[in-house]
Order: sequence, then C-alpha cells, then structure tokens
Amino acid sequence: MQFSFAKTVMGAVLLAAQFIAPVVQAQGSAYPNKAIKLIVPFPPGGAADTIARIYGEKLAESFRQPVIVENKPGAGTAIAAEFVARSAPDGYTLSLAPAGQLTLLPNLNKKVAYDPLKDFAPVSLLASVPYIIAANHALPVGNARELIAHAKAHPGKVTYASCGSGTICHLSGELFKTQNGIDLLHVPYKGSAPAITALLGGEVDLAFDTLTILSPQVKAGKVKALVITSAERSPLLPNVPTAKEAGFADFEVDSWFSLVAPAGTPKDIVDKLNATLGQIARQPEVREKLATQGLSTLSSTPEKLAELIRSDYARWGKVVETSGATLD
Amino acid sequence: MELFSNLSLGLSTALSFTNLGYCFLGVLLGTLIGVLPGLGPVATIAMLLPVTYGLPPDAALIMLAGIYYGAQYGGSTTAILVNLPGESSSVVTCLDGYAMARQGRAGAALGIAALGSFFAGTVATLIIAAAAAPLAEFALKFGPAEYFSLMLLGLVAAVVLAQGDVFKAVAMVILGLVLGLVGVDVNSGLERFTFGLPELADGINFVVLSMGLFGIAEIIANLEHSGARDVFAHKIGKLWPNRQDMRQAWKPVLRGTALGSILGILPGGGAVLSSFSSYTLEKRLAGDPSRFGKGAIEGVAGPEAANNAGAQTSFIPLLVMGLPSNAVMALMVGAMMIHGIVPGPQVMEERPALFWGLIVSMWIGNLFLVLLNMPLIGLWARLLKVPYRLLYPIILLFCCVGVYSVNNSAFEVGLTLFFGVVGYLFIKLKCEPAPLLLGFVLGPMMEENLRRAMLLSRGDASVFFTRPISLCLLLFAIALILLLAWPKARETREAAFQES
Repeated sequence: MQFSFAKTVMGAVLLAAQFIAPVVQAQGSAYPNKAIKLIVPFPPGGAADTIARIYGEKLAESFRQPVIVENKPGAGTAIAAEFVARSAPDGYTLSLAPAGQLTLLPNLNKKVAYDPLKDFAPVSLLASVPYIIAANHALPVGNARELIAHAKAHPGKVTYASCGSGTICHLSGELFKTQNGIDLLHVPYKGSAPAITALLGGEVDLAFDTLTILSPQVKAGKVKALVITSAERSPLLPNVPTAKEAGFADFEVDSWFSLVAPAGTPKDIVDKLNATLGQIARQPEVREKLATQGLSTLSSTPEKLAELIRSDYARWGKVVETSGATLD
Repeated sequence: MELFSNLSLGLSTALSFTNLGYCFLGVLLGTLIGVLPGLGPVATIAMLLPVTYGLPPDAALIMLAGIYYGAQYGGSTTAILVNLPGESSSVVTCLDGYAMARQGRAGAALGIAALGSFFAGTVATLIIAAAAAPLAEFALKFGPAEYFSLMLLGLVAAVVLAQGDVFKAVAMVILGLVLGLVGVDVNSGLERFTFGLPELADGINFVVLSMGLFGIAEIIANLEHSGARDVFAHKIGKLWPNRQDMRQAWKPVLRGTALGSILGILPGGGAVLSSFSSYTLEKRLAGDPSRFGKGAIEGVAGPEAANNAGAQTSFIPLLVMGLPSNAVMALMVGAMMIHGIVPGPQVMEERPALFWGLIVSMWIGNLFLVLLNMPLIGLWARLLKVPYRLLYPIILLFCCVGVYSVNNSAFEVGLTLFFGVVGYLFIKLKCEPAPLLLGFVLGPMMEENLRRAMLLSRGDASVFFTRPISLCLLLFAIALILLLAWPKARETREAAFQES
C-alpha cells in the first residue's frame, strides 16, 4: 500500500517535471531574469570579498540584474561551500571559491560535507595571488639559500608565522620545509594581520603569506622578502626573485580565486557566465584595481578550471600527507 | 610645528562641504542602524560598506568612520534602554545604564554617555595626531607573554564586577572560559566541543551569547510579572544629566579616557578590556561601591569614555602599519582596498591629505554624534513609554534580524534564543552574566597567547617573569588578589557584594 503510494507520488512528480522542464529551459535561455546571489566564504573586507564585489558590480552591469554579494563565513570556508553545493543549480546562486576551499581543506578535513570534485560546476578563474617568504630584519639571512643554510645550522630554532593552521600559508611553510630538509617551528595565528604584526615585532623570524598582505610592509622596508612564488617577478616588488630564479622551481604555491556554481547547472548558463566573466577580466579598470593589491586578473574555460581543481587537489593531498598535517 | 601643519591639512580635507556631509550622513546612518538591538558596529559597518563604494576614497573612509562612531553610540543606547549590548564593550554599560533607565534616569545615562564619549574622543584624536607612530611601536612590544599576563589581570579584576556571591562570580567566569573553548583551536586547527556542527566551528558568536543572556533573558523575566514595566513608564525624569551627575562623572570620564587610550592601541583584546577595567577601577575607587549595579552614574561615564577612547586609538595599528587590530578595522581595510588604496606604512606619506583628513574627521564625527544625539535622547527615552506588550515583540524581532545579519546564519538565531532561556535560569539563580561574558571574551585570547608564548619559548614558563612588561602585569594581578584578601579591603568588598 505504502509502496504504491510512493509510486503514485513519484509518478505525479515526474508528470509535473515534464510540464515544468520546458519552463525551466525557457528561463535558462532568458538567463538571468532575476537577482543573482554571489556567496563569499569570508567576512567583508579582504581579498576574496574585494574580488567578488569588483566582478559582481561588472556582472550586474552587463546582465542588467542585481548581483548580491552575500558573505557566509565560517568553518574555514566549509559553511559557504556546503551551502552552495546544496543550492538549486539554476545559475542564481554562485560561489566565489578560493583555492583552499576546493583543493586544500577537503584534504585536511575528510569530514567536510562537500566534494570539491563532484559538487560544483566550475565556471571560470577570476584572479590569483602569489605567496612570499618574508623575514624579520633581525634574522641574518639575505636570500632563500642563506635561509636554508641558517636553518640547517640552527635546527628547530627558526620560527615562522602562518595565517592559521591548515591554511595555504601554513602548508606552503610545510612544503618549503620538506622540500629543503629543514626544520622550522610553525606558529599559527588567527589570520594574516596578527601574523604579520608578530613578524614586524620580531616575535617570529619568518612569515609565509600573500603578496597582497606583505607587499606594503616590504615596500616600506619593515620586513625583507626572500622569494616570491609567481612565475615572473611582481611589478609591486621588482627586486624580489621568483622561486625558480632562486633555485626552488618545485616551490609552486599559488592562491587562486574562481567562480563555481552548484553541480548540475545547465551548460548554457555556465557558458554565458564564462563568456561574460572573460569580457570583464579584459577590462583595464578591473585589471588595474586588482593589480594594486598584487592580484593578477585571470580567466579560463570551465574545463581548464576543472583540470586545475583536480591537479591542485592531488598536489595538496601529497603535501598534506608528507607533512602529516590533519584537521580530523 | 609639524603637528599643526598636519592637522590643518587634515582640516582642509575634512571641512570640505562634501566630506562634512558624508561624515554627518555616516554618523546618522550609523546611529539609526546601530540603535536597532543586536546590531553593533561590526554588523552595521558590514551592512553599510557597499553604500560607500561609489564615493571618492576620502569621502568613503570618512563616512565609514562616522558610521563606526554612530553605531558604537547606538549600541550603548540599546544597552541603556533595553539591556541589549550590541558589542562586547557595551556589556558593562548595561549594568548601571539599564539600572538607571529603570529608575527613570535613562536621559541622564544617555547624556553622560554622549558627553563622556565626546570628551574621550577629543583626547584620543589628539593622541593619534601627536603620537601614532611611537604608540604603534610600543604595541609591537606586546608579545604573547605580555598578552597572557594582561588577560590574567583582566580576569582577576572580573571578580570585582560581581554584585552578589563571590563564588557564583568565579563559577560564572569559569563557565565563560569553557564556552570560549568551543570552536577551532588556533594552535592545532582542531575542532573542540562543536558536536560535529560546522556552525560552531568558529566558536559561539559574542553577539549571540550576550543578546541571549542579557536582552532575551531580561524580556522573559519582565514578562513574568505583568506590572514590571511600570517602573519604566511612570516617569522618564529629567532628560539631561544634572549638576550632581556631572560632579560625580567627570573624574571617571578622565580615568576612563586614559585607560581606553592606552588599552585601545593593543590589537585584539584592548578595546574590550578598557571598558571592563574602567568599571572595575571606578567600583574600587568609589566611596560606596554598593551603588554599582543599581544605577551608579560613574559606572556608565567611565566605561563609555574608555570605550570611545579605545575605539579611536584602535585605529593606530591600521593607520601606522596597515594592519587591522579587530573586525571593524578589517572592514576598513576592505573599504580601502576597494578604493585602490593599499593599507600599509606608506599611506601616511603617500596620501597625507587622506590620512590627516581621516584623523580630523574622527573628531568631527564625534562632534556630530553629540549634536545629533543630545536632541534625540528625549525621543529614545520616550520609546520606553510604548506599552511593553507592543515593545517586546518588536525588540525580539529586531534581535532576530540583528543576529541573522551578522553571519547570515539562521542557526545563530536559534542559539540566541537558547541562551535567552539559559540567561533566564541565571536570573532565577541570581548569577550575574557579566563575569561570564568577560571570561568568554578573554579566555580564548588568554589560551591562545599562553600556548603561543610556551611554543615560542620551547616550553620554558619563565618567559612570563623575565619579560619586564609581563612581570609588571603579573605583579599587578598578585597585588589585586592580595588587596582582595586583605581584611580591611575584604570589608569593603563584602560591603560591595551586599545587596542593600
């Protein structure tokens, strides 16, 4: 009896779906015809929020529909990721997804309730920022080679600050340690600002953080930058050698920001978003605004982004495994 | 004098017609939104941040600073009128401010809060203009050992906050410490006491806890006896502080300003500690400490001045180093970045007009705040005349809206209601929530810094005694404990704890 009831309900749903489906498709072709929500996994202020608001404003202009930036911070970006993964795949809920959310956090914490490879439809890359190893002036090293020699001579004595346990700041430090066979003491802080304050005050010797955070301090001569992880030198800090130039070609750390939608979002919507984001990324005004903060403006095909997510996910998985870091 | 040329450059920026207008608009918006229960400065600024995106950078920052002061004062207004602290620093304002409101002296409490804040804001602005750079250097000397000792001193002082049984106060501090443990541990990155709920991973939100324990619990308690609200309605009393109020308040304002200016510079806990420690200090110095908690004007004047001075000087790390010291300052950084200003040590040299304009408009913002709010005090106080059966559903509704808007999380609305029920139990058990909140705020910072200090010293605990600032703070804490234990002092403390 119950079984047949369920069958009836299912039949009704299927029947209804047949009528609704063309409507949904019609909406798809007219996409977007209402406000779009762009979820940011951090509180307002900060690089991710800035990127979301700059792109959001331009998206709203070209779509002639409001784009509402909604901050859903918490659980190291996991709350926002889960929210988007469970949202309707209709193109009206989008996610500003940072690299850590899709490639690092699920490696560290197997309990997160989203699958970075299955729950999202990648749309496009938006921007990226390289990392810098910065040192307090009191540390007697002038470049990364000398840092390694110094750390080898004083094992476990050199300390580095990170913007938190299980962040890219932290794991980039661990990567540098294992790649060079040195022992550094990790000191985690609650975000970048207190970590850099500790570096300025000489509480710690080193800090691994982004160009955005560190370039003003380096330019003002408050701390020294040893190496930058971008492929080319940054115009913000032209004197700082790239990791490759300094002989650390394997030290690849890059924090990118992408736009993803819930898995199952129709392909024509993804393509329309991708094309519009690509146009926005070519606007000099946008590139300039992001460049002042050390952010490179990027765009990509959805397929390229999917590939990047997969490869970075595997790469951080290895780093997490060899360093023994875990949040389980 | 460099100071005067800098200030005149700032004046020329801040006094331009448009910037003056945006400053006023910011203060007005900040006050109007901040006065909604539960919406403290962080939520208010986050909400209004997009409004400033279309403005030129200096106007945007000036408007945001105005929003900040407005929201802060708005938070004190709700603390006094309906026992709802919008942020951690207005918790102590609830203690005596709300008691004053119940005695029909809401106007005097609001007036002294505005005037005390204005005085403190003026002094703190001068401090920033004259000595921002050396003060920022001093703040850098505060390492984890110093922070730990400072927090310890704060907790010892917390016991003095209690009105009743000292053991209950200690128990509440410890309960606060335990609640502070919920969430991701900074050192290991592991979750503690989250029961697998991702919503608890970042710990319990302060607004959630304080609104539940103070505001919602108070509403439940008020509904218990139908006549309770007569105390509010029967007379509002004078709308302005009288001469005797002024005489009692000016010294606490001076002391509060000094405390707040110093503690505000320290990143993290500084601003929170300033209002708590000002209250503690006033209660210690008072001739009759038993009046505290029952509507002592010093208990409003001192902490409000400290609060505002701290709010002002907490700009110093941001202005000098480009490093935000709290959530509000992080939002200011976000606003700067949107406008293409890279916050950092060079802002002062590269954009002097913006830098000094912002500092001068801080003072102008404070002036607007007084001009705007003195006439509004009558209006706010009259709100209490609204029949309670109409008032409390509105307060509850705004509480829910306020909590939801902080993180866009429905879970936190539910949690607030849960703590409301817990708070009602505390009222029944005669347990004060203020020491709990202090333990909740200071506990996590104390733990973080204790473990960081031990990590950096490789497990050598002597670091707390060998660093001079840390040693001084610990000696203070010990002196305070001895003072509490001393027979003579004990008498006064017992007098302080007695319910009259």
